[in-house]
Amino acid sequence: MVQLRYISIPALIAEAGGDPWAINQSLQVGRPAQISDLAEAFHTAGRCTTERDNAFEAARRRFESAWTHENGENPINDSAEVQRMTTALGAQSAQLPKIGLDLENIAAALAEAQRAAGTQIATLEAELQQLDDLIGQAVELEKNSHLSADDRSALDAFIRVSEDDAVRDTKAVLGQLQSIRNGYSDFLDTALTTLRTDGYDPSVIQGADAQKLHQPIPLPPPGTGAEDVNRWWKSLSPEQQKHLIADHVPELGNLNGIPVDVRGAVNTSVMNDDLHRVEDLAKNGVSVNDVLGDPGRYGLSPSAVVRYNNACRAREGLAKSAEAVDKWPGNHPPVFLLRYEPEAFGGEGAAAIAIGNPDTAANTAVLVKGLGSGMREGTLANPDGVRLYEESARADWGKETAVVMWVGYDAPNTWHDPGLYEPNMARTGGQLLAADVNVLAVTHQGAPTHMTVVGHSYGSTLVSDAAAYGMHTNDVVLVGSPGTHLAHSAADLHLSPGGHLFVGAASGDPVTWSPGHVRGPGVFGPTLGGLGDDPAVDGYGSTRFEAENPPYTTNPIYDHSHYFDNGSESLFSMADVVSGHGDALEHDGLTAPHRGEYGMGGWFDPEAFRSATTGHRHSGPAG
Amino acid sequence: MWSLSLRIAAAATGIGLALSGCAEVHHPISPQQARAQVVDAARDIVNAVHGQVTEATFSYESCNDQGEPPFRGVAKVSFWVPGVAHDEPADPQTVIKALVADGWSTDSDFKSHSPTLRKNNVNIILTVPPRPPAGIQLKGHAWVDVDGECRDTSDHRTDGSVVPVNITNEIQRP
Repeated sequence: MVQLRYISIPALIAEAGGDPWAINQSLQVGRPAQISDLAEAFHTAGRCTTERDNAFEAARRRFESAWTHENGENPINDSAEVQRMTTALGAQSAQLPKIGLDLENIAAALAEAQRAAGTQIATLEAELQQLDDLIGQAVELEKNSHLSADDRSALDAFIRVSEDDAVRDTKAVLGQLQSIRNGYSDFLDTALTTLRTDGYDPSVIQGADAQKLHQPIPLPPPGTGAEDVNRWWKSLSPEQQKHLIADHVPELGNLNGIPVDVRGAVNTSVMNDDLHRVEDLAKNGVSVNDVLGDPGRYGLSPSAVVRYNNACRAREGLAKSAEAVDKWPGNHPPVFLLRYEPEAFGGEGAAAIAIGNPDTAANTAVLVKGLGSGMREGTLANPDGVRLYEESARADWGKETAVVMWVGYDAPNTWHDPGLYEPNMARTGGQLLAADVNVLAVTHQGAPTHMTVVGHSYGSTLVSDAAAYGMHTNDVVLVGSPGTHLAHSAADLHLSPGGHLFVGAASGDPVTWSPGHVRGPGVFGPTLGGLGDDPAVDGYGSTRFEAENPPYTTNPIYDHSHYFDNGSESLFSMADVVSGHGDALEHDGLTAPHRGEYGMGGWFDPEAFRSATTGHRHSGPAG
Repeated sequence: MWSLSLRIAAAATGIGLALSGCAEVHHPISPQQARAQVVDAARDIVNAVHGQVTEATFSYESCNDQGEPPFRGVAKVSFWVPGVAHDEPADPQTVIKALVADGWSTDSDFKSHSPTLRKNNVNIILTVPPRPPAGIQLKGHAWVDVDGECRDTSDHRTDGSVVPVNITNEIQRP
C-alpha cells in the first residue's frame, strides 16, 4: 500500500465510510487463471458445437485481456476434476463444454473485476500521493517563522482543502469498488447456480473465485427447467441440502425437479408455519375461532387467514392420506405434500398430495378431479385417492404404488360456472398438469415408473388438454367425461408407445352424454355443450371398461358420482390400469362395448341393458 | 334393469338435479347416529372374531365422487386373529365363518381374501391378506373397512371431521 507521510489512511477510511483497499484485496485473492485452466480442461473434454466454441473463445479473450498474470500457481487438479465429472455425466455429455463455458465466464468476470479494481486503487493512490506531497510542502512552508498571519491561515486552508480532496477521492473510489465487487458477486451467484444446474458442484473453485463462502445458496431463477433444477439439487453437498430443507423457503417445496421427499418436507414445514401463526395466538381463553373472527386485532393479515384455512385443508388431506393401507394391516405408505401454494388462484389454493413415493414407485397414478374440486373445498381429504391407492396396490402385490391427488388448477365451481366453457381455464390448467406430471419422470429413481393419469368429470377434459401440451404418460383413464376438448381421438393424447386410453362411462351418467351425440329428450341443450367428443363412443380409440352402478336412489346424478366406490366395477378397472395390467381387463371380464357399436348411433349405449355388479376387489397376490 | 328410454328420461331429470346441486336423502340421520352406526358395527365385529385391535379409526366420508353430502360414517379396524402366530397369515374362512355366525351375510366366495359382508345396512369389506414377502412385518392379521349408510346430510368437508380419529378404546373388548 502507498506510504503517506501526512494523510492518515485509517482516518481516510473512517471519513470515507469504508475501506477500498480491503475490497480490492478481497478481489485480488481470487485466482482467475486457475478457474480458466479448469474451464479449458472441461471445454477440451466435451464435444463442442461451433456456437459453443465461439462463445468459449470470446470468454477466453475477455479473460486474457483482463488477466494480470499474477499468482500463477495451480492447485486445482484439472484432469481429476474433469475425470470425476466425465464419470458422473458421461463423456458425450453436452454438459461438459457448458461447464467449461460457465467457468471461463467466471474467470473472465473475475479477471475484469480485478483489473478494474486494481486500476481504481492505483489511480487513488497516485492522487493521494500527490495530495500528501502538496500537504508536505505546505507543512514545510509553515515552519518558516516569518510568515504573516494571513499567509499562515491561507496555508492552513490549503491543507484542509487537500485533506478534503483526499477524503472525496477515497469516497469516490470506494463507491466504484463497491460497485465492481457487487457486480462481480451478483454475476458469480448466478454463475454458481448455473453450474449447479449443469450438474457441477462449484465448491472446487471456492476461494479461487474470490468469494469467501458460497452461502447462502440461492435457488435457481424462475423458469429454470426441471432437469436443470434436479442437477442443481444433486450438486449440493448433503450438508447444504440439510440447510436448505431446514430453512424451508416456500419456493423450494414447489420447485419442479426437486425430489419428492424433499418437497414434502419443505412444504410440510411451510404448512406448519401457516398453522402456528394462528394457532399459537389461541391461548389464555382465546380460541382459534376468536382469532379468525377478528384477525386484525391479533395482528393477522388477510393473507395469513387465507393461508391458515388452506393449511387446515392440507393437514386434513395428509391425515386422511396417511390412513391408506398398503396391502397388509397397519402397513401405511409414506405421504408427501408435493405442492403447497395456499394463496394461488386468488386464495382458492393449489396443492398436491402423494400417497406413496412417486420417485421410487413402479406404478404411479395422478388423479385429477373436476367441477367444484379445490384445495379450499377440501378435495385433498376426499377418500378417492386412498381408495385408488389401496385397490391399485392390491392389483399388483409385488410392486410399489403411488397415487398423487393433484388439486393444482383453478377448477370451475359448478356446471353453471362460465369458466367451464372458457378454453383458457382448461388450457392453463392443462399446462400446469403437464408440467407436474412430466417432472415425476425427472426425479424418478431407477427404471421409469408406469404412469397413469386419471381424470374424473371436468378433470378428464383437463387431462385431454394436458396431453395436447406435451404431457408424457403411459396410460390415461377418463371417467365421467363431459368431453375431451382439444383431443378428438385417442391418438391426440400422444401416449407413450404401448399406452392406452381407458374410459369409464356409466350409461346413466348424464354428464357423459355429450350433446353432439344425444338430442333425445331435448334437454341436453347448449348448457352442457362445448366440451368436445365423447371418448366412450365407438371409433374414438379407447378401451371402455364397465362402470355401471347399482340403482341406489332415484337420483340419476348418483351415476356420475360413484366411479371411486369401493367394490365398484370402475374402481377395480382403474386399479387394473394403474397397476400396469390394463390388458387384464379383458381377462377380468370388465371390458365394455362402446357406445354406438353394432352400427347404431352414438346415442345407443349397450351398457344400459346390463345390470351393474359389485364386490370387485383385488384380493390375492394373483390379482 | 332400466330400459334405455327410462335411462334417458332419468338422465334428463339428472341434469336438473345436477344443476340444482341436490342429492335427496329420504330419512336423514344425525352425525352422531352415523358415527354410532359404524362404531357399534366395528365393536360387534371385533367381538364376533375375538380380535385383538391393533389400529382403529373413525371418519366421515362423502358418499359421492364430488365430496358433497350426504356423508356416512366409516371405520377401519386392523386386528390379530386369536390363536394364530403373529408371523403367520390368518385363514380368511375362519374369520368369515365367525362373522356369518354373528349374523353378517355375504354373497362372496369363501375362498376370497376380501369378501364383502352386510348386517343392518352396514357394509364391510374384510381383508385377510396372505403371507407377506420378506421385509414386511405383519402388524395385524386382517382389517375391515366398515361403511355406514349414506344418510348424514351434514356437510363435513371443512369441519375437520373427515380426519380419521382413533377409536381403539371404544371398540376393544374389555
